[in-house]
Amino acid sequence: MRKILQLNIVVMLMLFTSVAWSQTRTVSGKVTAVDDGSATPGVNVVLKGTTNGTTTDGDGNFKLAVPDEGGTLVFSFIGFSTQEVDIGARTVVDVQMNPDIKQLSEVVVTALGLEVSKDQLGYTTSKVGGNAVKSSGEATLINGLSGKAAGVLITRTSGDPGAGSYIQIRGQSSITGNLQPLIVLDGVPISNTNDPGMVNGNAASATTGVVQQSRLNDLNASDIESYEILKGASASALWGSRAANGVIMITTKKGSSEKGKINISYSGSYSMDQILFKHPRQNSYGQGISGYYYANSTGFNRFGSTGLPYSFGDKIANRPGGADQVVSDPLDPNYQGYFQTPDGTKIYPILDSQIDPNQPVNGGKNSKTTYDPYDAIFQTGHYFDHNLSLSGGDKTGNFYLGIGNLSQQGIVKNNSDYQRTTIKFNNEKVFNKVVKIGTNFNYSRITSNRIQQGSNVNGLFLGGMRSAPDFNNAAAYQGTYYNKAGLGTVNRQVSYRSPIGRLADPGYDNPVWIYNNNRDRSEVDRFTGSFKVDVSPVDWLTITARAGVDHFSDKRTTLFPVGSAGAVNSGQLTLQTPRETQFNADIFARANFDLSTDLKMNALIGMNFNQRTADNVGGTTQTFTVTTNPPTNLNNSTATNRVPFNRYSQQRVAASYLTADFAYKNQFFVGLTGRYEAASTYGRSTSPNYFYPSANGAWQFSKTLGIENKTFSFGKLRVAYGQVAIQPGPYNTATYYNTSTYGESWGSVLNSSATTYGGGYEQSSTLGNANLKPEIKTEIEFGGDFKFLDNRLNLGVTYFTNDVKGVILPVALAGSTGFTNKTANAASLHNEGIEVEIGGDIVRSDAFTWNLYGNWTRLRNKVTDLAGTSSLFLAGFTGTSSRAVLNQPVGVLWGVDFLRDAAGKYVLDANGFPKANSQESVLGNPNPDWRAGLGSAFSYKGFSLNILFEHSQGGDIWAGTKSIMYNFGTHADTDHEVTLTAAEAATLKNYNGATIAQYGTLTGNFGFPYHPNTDGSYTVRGYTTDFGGGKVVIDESWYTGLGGGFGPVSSHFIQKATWTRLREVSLSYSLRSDGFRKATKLTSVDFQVTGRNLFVWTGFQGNDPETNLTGPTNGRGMDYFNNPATKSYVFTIKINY
Amino acid sequence: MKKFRYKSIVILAFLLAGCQAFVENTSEFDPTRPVDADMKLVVTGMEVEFIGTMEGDLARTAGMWSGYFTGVDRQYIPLNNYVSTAVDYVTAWNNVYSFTLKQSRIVQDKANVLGDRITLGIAQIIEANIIGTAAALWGDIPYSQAINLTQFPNPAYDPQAQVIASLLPLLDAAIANLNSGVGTTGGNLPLNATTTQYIAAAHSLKARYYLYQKDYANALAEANLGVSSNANNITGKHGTTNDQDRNIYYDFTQRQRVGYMTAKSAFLPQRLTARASAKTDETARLKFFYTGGVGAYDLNVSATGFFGSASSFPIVTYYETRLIAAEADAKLNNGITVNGLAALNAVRAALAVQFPTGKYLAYVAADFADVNAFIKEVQEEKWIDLIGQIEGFNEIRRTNNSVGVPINVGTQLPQRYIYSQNEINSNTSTPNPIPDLFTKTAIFQ
Repeated sequence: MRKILQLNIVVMLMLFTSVAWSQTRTVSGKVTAVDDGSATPGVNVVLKGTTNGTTTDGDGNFKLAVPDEGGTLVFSFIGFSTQEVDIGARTVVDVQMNPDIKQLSEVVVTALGLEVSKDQLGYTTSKVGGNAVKSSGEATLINGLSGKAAGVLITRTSGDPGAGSYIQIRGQSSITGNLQPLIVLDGVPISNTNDPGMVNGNAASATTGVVQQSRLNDLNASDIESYEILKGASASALWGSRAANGVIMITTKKGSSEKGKINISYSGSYSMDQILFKHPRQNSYGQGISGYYYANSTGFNRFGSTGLPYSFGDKIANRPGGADQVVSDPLDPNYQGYFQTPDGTKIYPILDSQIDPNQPVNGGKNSKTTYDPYDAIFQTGHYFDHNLSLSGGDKTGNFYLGIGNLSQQGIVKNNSDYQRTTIKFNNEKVFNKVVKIGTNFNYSRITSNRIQQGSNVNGLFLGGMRSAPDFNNAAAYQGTYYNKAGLGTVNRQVSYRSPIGRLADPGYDNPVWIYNNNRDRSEVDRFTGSFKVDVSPVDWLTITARAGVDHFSDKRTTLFPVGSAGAVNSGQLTLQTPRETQFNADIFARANFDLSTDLKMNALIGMNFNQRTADNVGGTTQTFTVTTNPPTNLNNSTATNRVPFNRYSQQRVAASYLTADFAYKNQFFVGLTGRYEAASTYGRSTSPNYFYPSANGAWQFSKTLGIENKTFSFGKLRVAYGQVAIQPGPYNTATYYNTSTYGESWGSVLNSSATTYGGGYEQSSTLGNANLKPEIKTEIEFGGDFKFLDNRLNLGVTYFTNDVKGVILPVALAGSTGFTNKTANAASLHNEGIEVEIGGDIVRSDAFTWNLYGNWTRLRNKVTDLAGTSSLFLAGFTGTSSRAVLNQPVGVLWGVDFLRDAAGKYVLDANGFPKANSQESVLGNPNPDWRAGLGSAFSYKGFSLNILFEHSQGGDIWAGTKSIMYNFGTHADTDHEVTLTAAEAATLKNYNGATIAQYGTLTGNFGFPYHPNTDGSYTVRGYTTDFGGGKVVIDESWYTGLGGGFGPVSSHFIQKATWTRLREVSLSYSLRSDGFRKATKLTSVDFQVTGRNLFVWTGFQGNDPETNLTGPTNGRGMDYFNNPATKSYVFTIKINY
Repeated sequence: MKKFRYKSIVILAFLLAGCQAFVENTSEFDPTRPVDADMKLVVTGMEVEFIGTMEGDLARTAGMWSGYFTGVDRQYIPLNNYVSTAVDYVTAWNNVYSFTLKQSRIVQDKANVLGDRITLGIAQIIEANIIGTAAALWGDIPYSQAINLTQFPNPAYDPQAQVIASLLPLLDAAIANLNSGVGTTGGNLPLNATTTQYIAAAHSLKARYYLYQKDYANALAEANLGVSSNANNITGKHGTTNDQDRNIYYDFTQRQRVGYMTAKSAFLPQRLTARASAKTDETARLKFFYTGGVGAYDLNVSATGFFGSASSFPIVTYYETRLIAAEADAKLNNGITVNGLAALNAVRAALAVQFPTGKYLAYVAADFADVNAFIKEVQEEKWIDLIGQIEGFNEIRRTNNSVGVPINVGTQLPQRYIYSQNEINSNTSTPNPIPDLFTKTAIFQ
């Protein structure tokens, strides 16, 4: 408190300090831009060698008192070359300013949205041009940023249209808290939530359901001028607790202040999107078990009431070929009725084998045809993107109007789409020298259909990838099942476990049923509006007031029709509308002073108010009364089957802040900031007020030391220190009572709200904490910016280290204490890293330019304190999860390993197979060792070619999909065959402990007796191996036991995620010759072709190693039936008038 | 200069006061959730958690290891074959402690404040039952220091025998409280039992624990005061609404994890078939429990089956109580007595009522070769009656598997559950190394 007062007093003092100087004559003049002659306001005009100076007014005019004789005026302005003009005896000095291309690119936007020269900053930012993102070929904004800035990790979670992505700047600064950076649009923070929504009154799980959109993708990349990524705590202390994860400042396009001309620009793009990776599948063995074809469609019923899920059946090559033998005779003892499709086609069951070593192993399945489930599911996706903009202005104001429409069809054949319409308008009006007003308005409307994925029997891939290779998902999926007695049941589903729709619950949804029948629809209305008033009562002082509102509502419909697999079998409908509103207001005053000839100062004092409100009201209804074509109505059930839900949160932050920037001799720069913040989320028993400071300094040593020359043209060293507090989330201060619900990880619940139970409550197992303090992140960074070869090449190097203390997390408590966790300031984290950015023109001639740009990031992260808990669940499954573990990087993969002895060797069971450890341990680290991006841009006359490679070294991923495909025998790795002699078959054992000859005869054996060859030998699906205890046979009993994904051990499915990708290639041609302009009256026409993710080199199979099941949550590195990633080709034409 | 300082302080004070007022106008508490609830509501909450814990996850694992069920698909294949790790018990352990026991203690606190002795007694019975179950399954468990975070953040593990012993006075207190007649049974819908039923159940639980202790005299005495008819069983009530009140066996096998668990090659249906004799026909009972045939048995989830959606789940029963009396009597007298026979025959008589198409003629002493054969029959009858209950697995270990449940894999039956991974992580008092699945617990040696 005392500190802040003192600082404030200094500022106040400076506001009222004036400097006097002698004056004898007045010189005036007008400053214009050289290219179009327009007036240039705001240019600094200084009498060289003095502090005597002024700035040009709105018309570019200036007046300055100068000494009687001689003198030189220095004209400087960001974006223009500085000019020195001798006054001589003149009283009027008009000057034309030349734009400085090199400098233009180095203006950066500070945390408050103000422009400054990058050369004066003591901290790092990364700037990405709006065009670079737009031309990347990504339909949505976030992914286009990928690979373009050091220290910024952007991970797309799925190829679904509009899907959310995980953004991480400089490592993780929290454990269970929000990790996503603050997004600030034209100075106003906006929402970037990724709400999974609710179902049945509970928060939807991250491991099932659909990948929701990222709210950042609501913005149209065509409207964006630039992105400024503020990485360090120092750079972002002005946004306080919300900026701990970095800030992405987005600046939208503005109309140019040319002479009243209206610019009209149209661009249209068309893309083609294809699936990037496929899980390798086996096509050698059919559906069944122990080498017998069996689909559980005829009689027998060995497997209870569920269809057989495995593909350990007969060898397809050994089938006779030709038509299958179906059971269509009602007198046949195997007759089970038939399935009738809507067009009247009758499908009879194929005769199952009898699972008898003395009978044919293929039953009636004669056909050798196999099917790729990818063919049934995917198509080439595409999008059309149209953007029209009008902009213009003059010296008194400008405007920009942008209208965009994106219409995307995903790669899934139906109901995976994304339609976005955006309107953007902003204008600025300069009333007079004193007042300037700007307004900003964005509206987005998004409708999207999404597809279920993940650990979910209604997920696209789950049934798809488990499907037997000899079952055609596309043949039929919905119709009527007629039973033996001829009685029909409508709305039955055909899937590989229920091939004639005989089962009410098909086990897993047929993917064709999913994309045709299920609905996950989202309709978003997003509105962002803000205004800004600048008042400059005197030329050294500007007062800015800025207020904005960001609101969205996302109306969601989730429908599972009757006949869907699993718990929603009797139909389920959820309607909900998550909404968020954010209000933000800033008022601040800026002042410039020259304290002496060499020492200049900018000071700023301001206040910030922010309120965020989120709510969601909705309901789930299940067990439909109208079962065919059910209406979208929550009343479509009996009353007890309707579950309403709602959720609400509101939080407020208020702060006052100060900054002071000093420049000495234009070579030494020091910036100081302080923020005093109060938040509503602290317990009232503690003070809600916190202060955090930051400081940064920069030294342009090349100037001071006078070592600038042609080769080494500029050098700056910088250092920054900053502290930022991360406030707790809302409502953690008390221990609440919840509706009492018995639950278990298998999904079954008992809910006390049932009429049977009458309604009950219980104390939560999470202990509240009224004494929560903010997490404090302290960061120090050192770095330098260097330019070479006459400023053609530049290099930026930064080393940073940050420590986060008092990280708030649900500290795991022993359940026997009555609580399973407690929210507390418990953990500590350490991050350190090196970021390198390099860029420049390798070749620069009139016709040809070769520009190279690159970035490299190395980040090390460690949990240094976890409050006595050895591991904390972040995301995933009970078997394999992403966790925070003491002395490990955040997000490590955690699960059960094989039991090993001290030397690391397997401890074997009596049969020579490995055993599972009884406890869990760290299995892998999803964080890469380093990441790099390297791009090259070539331009020759109107042509330009841009190539961007990205590489991620190291890091692990859990191949969950593969592990489960092992279990079901559909993965290509399970395609083995071994022939054992009769003697071997009598001695070699499989995982069930049976010999191959004896297998299937003992209690506890998974399968049935194998079919022997005529000579007594056995040809079985599998291979022999030796775990250290002698030869054993790996076969279906291993895959369905410890060797597959449903066994407790997951360590053998942790794989390296290293990848290199050709992130983007684009070739463009710009038609803008004078002849063309005269002939068409157009300014230019540009053509561009872009390829996105065309090649990915990686050892990981089946999906993009960037994929992540739990989306933009704090857990990473998991692939479990995630919807696949895509590659794209985009064609664009742009017409400028 | 002074003027500026003064102005500056005023301005700053004004700004900061504004900040504070702005944030304090928003509540720190979630408006959608209460921070306390009436006793009656917590009683309901406690009973729902209790039923779920007795009937859910823990009971299915017990059932696969006790010959009732077979794990045939995905994660249930390894679990069926005794491949089990500390992770498998995280949720269940928390359900025992943080959900059931803690709510019971909250109810007891609230009941003490209100002087509601009946509610106090009910909560004490829930505590005695859930803790007795946990001790039987895990051996040494936290009890005397449990549910007291402030004082005992790392609750000590009390010896199994000591935990069981300490439940007997707790049940006495419960009986005394219930007998006082002061109070209500508000919030009691999930178990929906009367004061009389609760008192009898408390005696039955005492009988069970005395039997664990091999204190046959007391076991017999308490059993004779225990549940006196099927109508007086303590059962968990169920209905037919998804995600609300369905029988958990039904929900697990028919909705959540279809195909994971059947009774494909389970021992119980085989035994029920094999038990056919001149005096016994178990066909009806077999059909009540199971569907399907040899090698393909499945749980009977029909509306009239044991595992039907709305079928009540037994927790403390007449059959178990009578069979405790029968076994205690035989062991106490080392012979087949009239009373012992009567206790077994009471069960058979009730079965004959329950299954009119079955045959359960009364036994006479001559039906048994010796007292051991009698005890074996009593234990097998009890094992059958305990289908689906955790207590069935406790019985197999207590009786050293007298019914001869086949071992699914390897050479030994599991002898306990493994401590929860969360407890291993967060309670420094957890034994290290943790005992493995096949290490016998102290009382079931």
